[in-house]
Amino acid sequence: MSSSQKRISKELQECMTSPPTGMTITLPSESDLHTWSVKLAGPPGSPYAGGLFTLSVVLPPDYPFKAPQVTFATRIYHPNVTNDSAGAICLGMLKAENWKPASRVRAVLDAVRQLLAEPNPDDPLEARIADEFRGAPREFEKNARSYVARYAQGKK
Amino acid sequence: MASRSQHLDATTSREVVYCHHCEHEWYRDERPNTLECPSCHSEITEIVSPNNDPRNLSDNDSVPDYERHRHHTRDSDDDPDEDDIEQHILHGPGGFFSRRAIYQSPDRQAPNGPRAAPDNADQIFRRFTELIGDLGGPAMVGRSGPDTLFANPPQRVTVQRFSGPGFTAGVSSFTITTGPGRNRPDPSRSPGPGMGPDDPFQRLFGNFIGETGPPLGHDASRSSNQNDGDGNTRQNADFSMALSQLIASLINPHMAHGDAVYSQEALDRIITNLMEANPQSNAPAPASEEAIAKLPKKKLDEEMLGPELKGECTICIDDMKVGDEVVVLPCKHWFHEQCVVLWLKQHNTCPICRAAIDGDAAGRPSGAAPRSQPSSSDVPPPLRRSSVQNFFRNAQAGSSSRQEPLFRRDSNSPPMNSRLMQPTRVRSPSPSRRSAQSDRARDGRGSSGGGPLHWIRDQFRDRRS
Repeated sequence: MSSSQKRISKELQECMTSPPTGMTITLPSESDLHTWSVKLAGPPGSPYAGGLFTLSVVLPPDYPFKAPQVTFATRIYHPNVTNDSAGAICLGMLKAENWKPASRVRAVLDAVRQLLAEPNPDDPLEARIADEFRGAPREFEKNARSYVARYAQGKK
Repeated sequence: MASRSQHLDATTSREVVYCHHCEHEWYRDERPNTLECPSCHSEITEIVSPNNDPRNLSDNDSVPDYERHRHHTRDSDDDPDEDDIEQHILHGPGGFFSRRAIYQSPDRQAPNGPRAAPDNADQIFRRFTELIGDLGGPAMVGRSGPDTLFANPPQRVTVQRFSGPGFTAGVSSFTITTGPGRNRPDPSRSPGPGMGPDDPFQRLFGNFIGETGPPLGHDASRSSNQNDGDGNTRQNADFSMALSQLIASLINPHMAHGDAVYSQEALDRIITNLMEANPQSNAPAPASEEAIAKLPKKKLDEEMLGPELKGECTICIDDMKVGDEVVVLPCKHWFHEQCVVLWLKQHNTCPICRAAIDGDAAGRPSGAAPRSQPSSSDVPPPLRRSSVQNFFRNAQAGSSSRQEPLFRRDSNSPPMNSRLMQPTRVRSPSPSRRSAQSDRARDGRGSSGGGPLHWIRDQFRDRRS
């Protein structure tokens, strides 16, 4: 087992025994430590409350020297997540120039959850949604809730 | 009906009588007593005078053009009412139909009268081939405008329209306009001093039609042959190149031509590809072998591990104990040698605090205690972050959000470390600073914005001022 896999299995074990708040972590394939599936409950108090979002976490072979790739498999209406099937997330700590090996998947997942509770319209992936979030928060919440109702009911 | 082909001459002293009923005609002095038609005994007859000839002497005119020429190819005559416009109507086999109009400048008569007409299909297609040759050759396509229609010397513009039975019901037709290519100066070779203000267009289209590929080399060679003091010429060359690139961008759906791109989307795409191909391109550079070799190695002691005598290498997250050998970075963070070297071979920063391991700022913050992460305020900005890296970082952000200005400069963004110290926060420049950056980016590209269209507009404004 490489040192990379050793670290991943340690992190996985820790995440499974004491999962991050509002999350359940599974391995879609028991033989592949590098692909995690995370069920994330929308943070209470946010428009995403009540939704269950599936995240895909892919750890590169040279993890932790390269950042994991985290994407939303569930459609979500959010300024920092692309409004498409790719579900790319704009998360500063995952960018190549920001990543450092001391960061762990757990911290990344916490950051994603924090992004749902507190969108960051100043660094958007969806500029239109960011403008709506700033300028018409009621509209934004309505749209976000309708996405939750349509996509994030845990039937993924 | 033979009589119809040989009309009696009504211009002599003998009066000619014409029967409107049977079209018979006869000399009145042959039957002086009556005007009744000797042929059909109709009384609807008329004495023909030279000024009023009811007979259809050119009876072909009563037949529609199409019918008249249906079974033999023939070039019709030109329009008598417009003596500076020749019109030729041409019928070929199979319903092929061509109308050609030649516009002549008003102050010049047609030198040779109506053009000789091709009289068979081969001729038609030979002429057609010549037309195509005109299009592709050094001659230029006629363009409606003052210099093609009425310039001196007078020019000929031929509008040729071909029609024929379509594949389905109906008629297919196309029109070819040819200009006086050979008579006009060839601006791609000899840009004369007296050319009008629109000669960039001429040169562009000359290049576009007559040459393949961008006119770069040709322009460069010409510029070197000429006195370079002629700034106007050079400007024209740039202008024509930009226009041809514009046209290429219209033709190329990917808006890219060789090394050039013509839209922000295309640039986004290329940068995204670069980012994906080399995801580390905007990350700190690797540390040098010497810098790595110079890092001190130590046995873990109580001071380094703290009161609990427990610690871990944050890279492999293995527990470590007193006596284990570690590499200590200038920032006092320590790791397994094999772990940290793997990282340092990619990036010259501490895996925890990102302080540089060599260079002027190596090890700062110097006062930071081991194992305690330095506060964001005393972490220096990462070294070796050039403006290029800033550009790529911003371009990466822009590539996933197309509405963002691509060239947003981020030079006064907070030091990266302050964001890193808050791993649960994404980076968040304040809105005011962000908009100021956008304004600055726009200013940098000129008051009229960017892109080839704006550039062209600027060129025209410059030329006119």
